[in-house]
Amino acid sequence: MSKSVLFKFNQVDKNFTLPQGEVTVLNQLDFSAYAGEFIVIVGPSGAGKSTLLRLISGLIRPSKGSLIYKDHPLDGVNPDAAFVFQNFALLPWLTVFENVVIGLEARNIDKSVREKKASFYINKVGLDGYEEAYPRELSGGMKQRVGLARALVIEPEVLVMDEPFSSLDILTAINMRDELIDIWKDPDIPVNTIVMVTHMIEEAIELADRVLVLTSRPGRIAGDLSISLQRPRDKQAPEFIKLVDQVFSLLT
Amino acid sequence: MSEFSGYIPSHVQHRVKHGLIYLFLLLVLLAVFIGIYRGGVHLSELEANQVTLSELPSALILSFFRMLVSYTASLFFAFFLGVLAAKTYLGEKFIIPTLDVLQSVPVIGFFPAAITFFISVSNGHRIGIELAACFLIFTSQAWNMAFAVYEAIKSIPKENLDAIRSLGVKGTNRFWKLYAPATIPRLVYNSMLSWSNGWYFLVACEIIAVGTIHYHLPRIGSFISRSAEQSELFLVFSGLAALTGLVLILDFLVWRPISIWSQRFRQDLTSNDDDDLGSLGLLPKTLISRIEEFTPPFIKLISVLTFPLAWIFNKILKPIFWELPKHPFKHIWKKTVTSLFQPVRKKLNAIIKKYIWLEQAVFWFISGVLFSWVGFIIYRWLQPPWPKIVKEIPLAILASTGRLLVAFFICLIWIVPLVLLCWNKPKIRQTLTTIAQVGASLPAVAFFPLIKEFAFKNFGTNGMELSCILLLLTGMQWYLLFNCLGGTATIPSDIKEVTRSLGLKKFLTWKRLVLPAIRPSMITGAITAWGGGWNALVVAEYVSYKGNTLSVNGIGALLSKATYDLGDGKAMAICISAMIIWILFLNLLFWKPIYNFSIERFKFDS
Repeated sequence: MSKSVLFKFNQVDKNFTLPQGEVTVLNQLDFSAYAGEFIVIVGPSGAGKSTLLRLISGLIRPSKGSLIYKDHPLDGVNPDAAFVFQNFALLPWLTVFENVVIGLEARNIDKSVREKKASFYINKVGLDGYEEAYPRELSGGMKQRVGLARALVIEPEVLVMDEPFSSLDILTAINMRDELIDIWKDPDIPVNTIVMVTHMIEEAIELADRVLVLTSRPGRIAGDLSISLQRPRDKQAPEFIKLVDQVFSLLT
Repeated sequence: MSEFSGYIPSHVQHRVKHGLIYLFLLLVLLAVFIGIYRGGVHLSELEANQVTLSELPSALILSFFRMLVSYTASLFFAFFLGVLAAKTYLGEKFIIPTLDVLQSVPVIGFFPAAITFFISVSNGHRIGIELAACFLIFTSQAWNMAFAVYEAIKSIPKENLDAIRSLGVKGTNRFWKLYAPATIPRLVYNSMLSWSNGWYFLVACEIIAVGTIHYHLPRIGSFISRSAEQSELFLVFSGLAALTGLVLILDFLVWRPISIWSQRFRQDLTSNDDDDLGSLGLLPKTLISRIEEFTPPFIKLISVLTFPLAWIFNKILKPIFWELPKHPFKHIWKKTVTSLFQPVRKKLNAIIKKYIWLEQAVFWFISGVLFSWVGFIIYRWLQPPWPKIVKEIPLAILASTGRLLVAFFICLIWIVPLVLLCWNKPKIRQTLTTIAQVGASLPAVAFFPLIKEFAFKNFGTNGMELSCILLLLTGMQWYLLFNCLGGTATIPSDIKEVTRSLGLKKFLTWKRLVLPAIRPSMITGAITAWGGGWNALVVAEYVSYKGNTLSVNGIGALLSKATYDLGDGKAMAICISAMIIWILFLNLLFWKPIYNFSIERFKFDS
C-alpha cells in the first residue's frame, strides 16, 4: 500500500460552549492518516472521539489549528467522507432503496446510474430483496447495513464510523465486523480508508491497522499503535491479548 | 436519579392538602360574598354606560377571579373523572368516549343555551350570567385535564405499580404516593393549555352579545369591546395591554416555574434533555433557576394570604371535624360499615370476576338507555314543523367550512415557509416558539373588537367577510406554528448530520427531511387549529357593530341568529347538533385516519 497522506491534523483544538462555560474537548491533536489505512480510535466517554470524526467529515471545524485534507485545508462539509452512525440515522419515511440513494440524489446523478449503483451496494451489504421495505420493518443489523450502503454508494474516499456496532447484539456485531473487513478489502468497492470510533478495546485490535488511544477531557492522543497481526485475527492469541493489555494500560 | 422520582414527602402532602382546602374555602367565601353583594342586581340595571379607565383594575381582577373559580372546579372534576375512568371498567367505557366527543365540540356553541338556562334558573339575576360564564370556561378546561389525569395514571410504568403494590401501599396512601405524583407532569402541561383556553372563552363570553340586550358586566372582555364600540382606542389598548400583561405575568411567574417543577415527577427515568428547558424560549437558563428559587416565596405568599383562614380553620373548624377519627363513635361507625359492606363487596367482586359478561351487559344496558334517550330527544326535535332556518343549515355549514379552509391555507402559506427557513436555527426557532406560545395563550377574541374596527373602517360593511377570516386566523395560526416548530425540534441530531454529510442541498433537505419530519406535529397542530377555528366561528360570523348586527352566511351566524334574533330553542338545538355532527364526521373520516397514518409513517423511532 502506498503511504500517501490522506488527511493531517495540525495542532487541532476543539472547544464547545456549554452553559457551564467553555469546554476543551480535543486538545493539541496532531497526526496524519494515510490512504488505505483502517484507523480505530479508542477512548473513554468524553474523550471527544465523535468530535474527531465530525471534524474529519467537515460537519464541524477546528477551534484552533487546521485540518489538511489532500493538501488543502478542509473548509465545509467533506464531500469525500461518508458517515455511519451508531443509531443508524435512517429516514423512517423512506424505503431502503430511497434511503440508500439519497446521497446520489444530492449529487444530481442520473437516475439510471443512481439505480444501478444503489442496487450494487444494496447487494454488497446483503440486503437484496429488501429494497422496498421501510426501516421500521428491519432488524438492527439490517438497519446498519442500510446505513453502510448509504455511505458506500457515494463512493467516498474515507468511511467515517461512529461506534457502528454498539447498538447491535453481540452475534450480529461479530458478523458485521467480518463483513466490514470484506468490504474494505473488496477490489470492486473504491473506499479503502476507514476511520472508526469504539469504546471496545477488543473490537479495535480486531479491526485496525492502527489504533489511536485518546485520553478523557480534554482528548489528547495517549498512544498510536500499529497492529500488524494477520487477518482474521485470533482473539485468544497471546499477541492479541498483549495488545489489548497495552491499550488498556494507556487508557487507565 | 437516585430516589424514586414520584414521591411527595408527607409534610409536603400535608401542606398541599391543607393549602388546597384553605384556598378552596377562601374561594367559596369570596364567591358567597360577591354573590350576596352583586347577585341581587337585576340585569336591566346593568345597561352600558360610558367606559372609563378606572373600571379597568376591577374588571381585570373580577375576570381573573372567574378564571380561578372555573379552574379550581375543573381540577376537582378532572381528578374525579380521570381516576374513575382509569380505575374502573365502566368508567373507562363511558367517560373516555364522552370526553373525546366533548373535547372536539365547539363549546362556545353552548354558551347561548347555557346562558338561557342559567338565567332562567336564577330568575333573571346577574348570578345567572356569572354561572353561565363559569360553566363555559369550565367546559373549555375540564375535559382536557380529565384526559391528562386518565392518561397519566394509565401510563404509569407497570414496574412502578407493581413495586407499590408489593409493598402493600393501599387506598389514599397509594393515591398520594403514586397516582397524584404521576399525574403532575401531564396535568400541569394540560393545565397550561386549559388555562389559555379559559382566557379565550372568558373573553369570548364577555364579548358575546346576548339577545337584544347586551349584558355588559364589569369585565375585561366587555371593557375592551365596549371601548371599541365607543371608538376609545386608548381604552382598547389599555385593556389589551392589561390583559396581555396579566396573562404573561401568570405565564412566566406561575405556569413556567410550575412546569419545570413538574418534570421531577416524570415516571420514565430517561434523562431530561436540555431541549425541554430550551422550549421555555426567551428565558435564559439562569433566570429559570432564579424563578425556581423564587417559587417557594411565592407559595409562602399564598400561605400568608390564606393565614387568617387557616387560623380560623385550625382553631375552630378542625377541633370540631378533624378530631372525629379519635372519637370512639367513629370506630363503631367504621366497624359497622366494614362488617356490613365487606362481605357484600367481596361477593360482588367474586360475581364480577366470574361473570365478566355482566359488566359488559351493564355497559350495553346503560349505553342502550342513553342512546335511546338521546335518540328520542333527536326524534322530538326532528318533528315538524321545522324552523325555517333548518333549510339554510347545509349551505351555512359548507360556507363556514370554506371560510375555515381559507383561513387555514393562509396559516399554511406563512407558517410552512417560516418553519422551513428556521428549522435549523435554534435561536430563531426558540424565539418563534416563545412568540407562538405567548400568542396561543393570549385570548385572540380580545383582539376581535380591534380587528372589527379595522375591517369596517377601511372596507365598510364589505369588511365583514374579511374581518371574519382575520378573526378565524387569530384563533388558528398559533397552534399550527407552535406545533410545526415543535416538530422540527424532534429531528434527531444524527439525522441532521447525515443529510449534511451526504451533501443534501436546501430543497432536497426540505423535501426529504424537514417536511416529512414535521408532518405528524403539523397534523396535530391542524386539528387543534381547526378546533380553535370552529370556536372562533361562533364569535366571528355574527358581530354587533355600533348598534347594528352584521353577519355572513355561516353556521356560526345561523346559531347566533337562532339564539338572539329568533330566540328559538328548537332551531338553536338543531344548529348546534348539525355543527357537532359535521365536526365529528370530519374528525372521524378525515383527521383521525390522516393522523394515524402520519404517526405510523413519519415518526422517528427506527
